[in-house]
Amino acid sequence: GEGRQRLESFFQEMDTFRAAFEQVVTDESGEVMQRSEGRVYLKRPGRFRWDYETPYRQQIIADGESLWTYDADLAQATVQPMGEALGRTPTLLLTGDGDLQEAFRLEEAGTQGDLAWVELIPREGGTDFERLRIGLDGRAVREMVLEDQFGQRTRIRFSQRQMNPGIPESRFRFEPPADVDVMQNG
Amino acid sequence: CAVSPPQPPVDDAEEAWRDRVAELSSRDEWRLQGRLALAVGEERWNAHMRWQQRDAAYDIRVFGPFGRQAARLQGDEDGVVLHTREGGTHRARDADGLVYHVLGWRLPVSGLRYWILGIPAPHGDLEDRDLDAAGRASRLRQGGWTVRYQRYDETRRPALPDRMTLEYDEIRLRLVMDDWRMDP
Repeated sequence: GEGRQRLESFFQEMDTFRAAFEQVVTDESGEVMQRSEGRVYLKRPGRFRWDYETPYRQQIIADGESLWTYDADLAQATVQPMGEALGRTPTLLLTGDGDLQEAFRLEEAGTQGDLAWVELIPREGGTDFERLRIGLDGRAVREMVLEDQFGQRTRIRFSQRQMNPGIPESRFRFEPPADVDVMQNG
Repeated sequence: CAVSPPQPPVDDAEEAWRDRVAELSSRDEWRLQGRLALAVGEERWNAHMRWQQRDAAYDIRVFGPFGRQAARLQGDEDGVVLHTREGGTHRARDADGLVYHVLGWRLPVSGLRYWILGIPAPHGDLEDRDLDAAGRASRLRQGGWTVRYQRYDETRRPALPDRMTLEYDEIRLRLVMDDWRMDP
């Protein structure tokens, strides 16, 4: 189907990916609970960086081994091994670590304008999202929708997308500022 | 949130404080989007929060990156329900006790409902308080908790807290307010 084809070709062609994003979290009645924007960087295998810029400054960085989160205002950082992180960080799948089909069953989820949608159904539990859909246009991924078991939904829209730009390795390294203590989770 | 120059000092901080408490105590409908960082001993944890208050009813959602809900606390005068990510649903009469029982750490919901506005809770005695030059709380001590206000959002009247911390024994909670919604 069109959706799966676009997703597979996105994985084949992508070595790095860069975009701006807008993230909107809505509750089960569809009311907006939170809106944020920033920039995302992906690099295969297994590296990504989400820089939330407004209304708060937060970073989520996967360096291939560990997953770091850092909140500038809260001056708090956490780090956890990436192994168990896949379930909690669906965007990790965008870096196409290993075969997506191992972790998820892919199902066509229709088209909408120039977007073809794919639904990813986790093969075994452990992911914290009930539903996960990715929308791709002819070029690359453009939207992601994640829904948790409470019906809380997160919609992420990508813009200013660039396939295979040069991204320095240092972009995926996190150096905690001096005054910040890093909490080892998991 | 734009933070304009600090409010000019008032000639009578006590009077300004009394007006503030009266004004904010009458507000029974507001919504807050913010972030919290919890430190309990060596344990650290942070999350996003949305708190919706309507009269005595509150709906507090705590969620992680990418909007993944970690917990939801809904309650009013009659009781409270706590939904946790593991799928558990727990009911009780008292929110503070329920949070401690289920999550293992204290979140003084009944007090925080007022402290978050920058005023003491009406129930329970106020053990201590300091005011700033504009007649706003800089520190409150109530129910064993020490509440400190590091910054206020000056773009609103009355000004609402923008950065605050709560301490109790070895628990330290930092709150950052990103968006206040309160009908005038």
